[in-house]
Amino acid sequence: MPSSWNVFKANSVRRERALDILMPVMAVAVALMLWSAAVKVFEIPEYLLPAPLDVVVRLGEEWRRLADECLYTLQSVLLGFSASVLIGVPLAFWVVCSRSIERMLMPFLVMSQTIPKVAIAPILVVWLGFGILPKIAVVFLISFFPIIVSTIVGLKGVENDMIDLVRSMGAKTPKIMLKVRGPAALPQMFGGFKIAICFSVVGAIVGEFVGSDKGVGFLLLTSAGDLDGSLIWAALFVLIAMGVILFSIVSKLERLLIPWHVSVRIESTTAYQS
Amino acid sequence: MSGEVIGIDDVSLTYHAANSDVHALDNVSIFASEGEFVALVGPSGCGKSTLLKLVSGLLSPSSGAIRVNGREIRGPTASVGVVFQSPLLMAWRSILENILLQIEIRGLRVQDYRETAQELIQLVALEGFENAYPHQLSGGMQQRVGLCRALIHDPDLLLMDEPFGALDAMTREQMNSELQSIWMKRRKTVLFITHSISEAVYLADRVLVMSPRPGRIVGEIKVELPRPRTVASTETLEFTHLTRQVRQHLNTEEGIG
Repeated sequence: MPSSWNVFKANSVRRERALDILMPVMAVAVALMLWSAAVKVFEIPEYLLPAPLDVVVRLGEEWRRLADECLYTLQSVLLGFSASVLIGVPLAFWVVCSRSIERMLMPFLVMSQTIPKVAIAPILVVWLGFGILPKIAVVFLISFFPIIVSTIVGLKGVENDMIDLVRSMGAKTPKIMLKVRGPAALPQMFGGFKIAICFSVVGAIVGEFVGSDKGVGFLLLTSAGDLDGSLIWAALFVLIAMGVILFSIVSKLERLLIPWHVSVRIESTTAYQS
Repeated sequence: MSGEVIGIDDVSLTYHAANSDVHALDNVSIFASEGEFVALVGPSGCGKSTLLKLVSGLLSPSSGAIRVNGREIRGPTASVGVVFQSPLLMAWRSILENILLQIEIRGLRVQDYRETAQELIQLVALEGFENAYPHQLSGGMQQRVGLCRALIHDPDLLLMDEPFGALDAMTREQMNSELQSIWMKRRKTVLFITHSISEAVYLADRVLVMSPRPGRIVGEIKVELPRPRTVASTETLEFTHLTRQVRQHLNTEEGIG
């Protein structure tokens, strides 16, 4: 390939990377500007909707407290999400290995999802106390379902011919799982992880709403009680930041682990074709 | 038979579908000796692929016996390499890793086969692509990787199920000629399934014709064209004569001729 082409390609890849960061930042900036303008023009009182700048100022003033609450919430998010991955993924493998397990387990899984988490959160508090455990439980309950469902879809989504091929090489179920279905399922698994990590943040807040004296959820509840608009929004900003950062960590991991998948590739797909 | 590599002995297969039994194969017998290239032609749905699954041990027959190298098949065997219609490469493995999959799955030492893999890659003219990924290759190149993967463990028998059926006509012609030269170098016994009559005649020492379901062998045509066969040999009278013979067998079975 001519070197000028390589330079062009490198440049266009770099440009794509830059746009990946620049464009969302600009979109958010525009939204914030519109928000500021609306607050000014319509003279919205602070307890209803504070101006973004006021929220930022409040963030600066209260950062130590916000950081503390945030760390507490982050703990239940990460522990609950990890539990979902560690339990959900093996469970999905098990379901795919055995039809009977699938038949017996799936009704419970689906039922567990039709129960509103807000409704059972109080029961969890009764069972598990006021500590961090009931929050982790809510996070787990809300986030394991997308993980298990998408992992099952991924594991099952392998062509029959591919399975025949490795069986003709003498592979039995464990090897088929490990060498074929497992890797093939990674893209779907990450789809599930991405949904689950966002749900996890929601779950942690739900858990804290029901019974907590710590965490961003608790802060939201008390500042709403005080009609403290800028503190509510400062807490929300922290929550959003947490969600976005966690989501992008999962996306980063996805890029690292499945560089081969269509959804992740950025280079030309026909690089070597002759 | 001495040097018999495939022995399909009076095999029938009936499988149970939703509400009726499907009689897929009816008293099929195929024998192939060492180094022989046998092509199997038949209309779609005649059980060609079923037959291949039987030989590779993925299915067991309802009656009759299947032997590879004199040993009766009871489950996947060590001495077979299979190429399917689609290349079936794993997107997460490099070309070299895809070829070595066969070795990994069979529990052999990967280190011992790296050299062989390199030789095969050279044989199919894919040097330089060892570390490329499947999506970076064209369809024909992908199928060549599939061929390497089927040959890496030096099987006694190569089973090919319409391997070039998904390729465009020009690539297909090229792949046929490459397969012939690889076969002439390695002299594996090949059972090649196709629905292209000219492809069968071009490649095979012997063409077997199968009837529509239930599949039976209804014709056998020996092809004694000199090798290496070229595009020119497909334009000879003898070639035309042979393809006509195959077509006649097919047509009488379908009630057209």
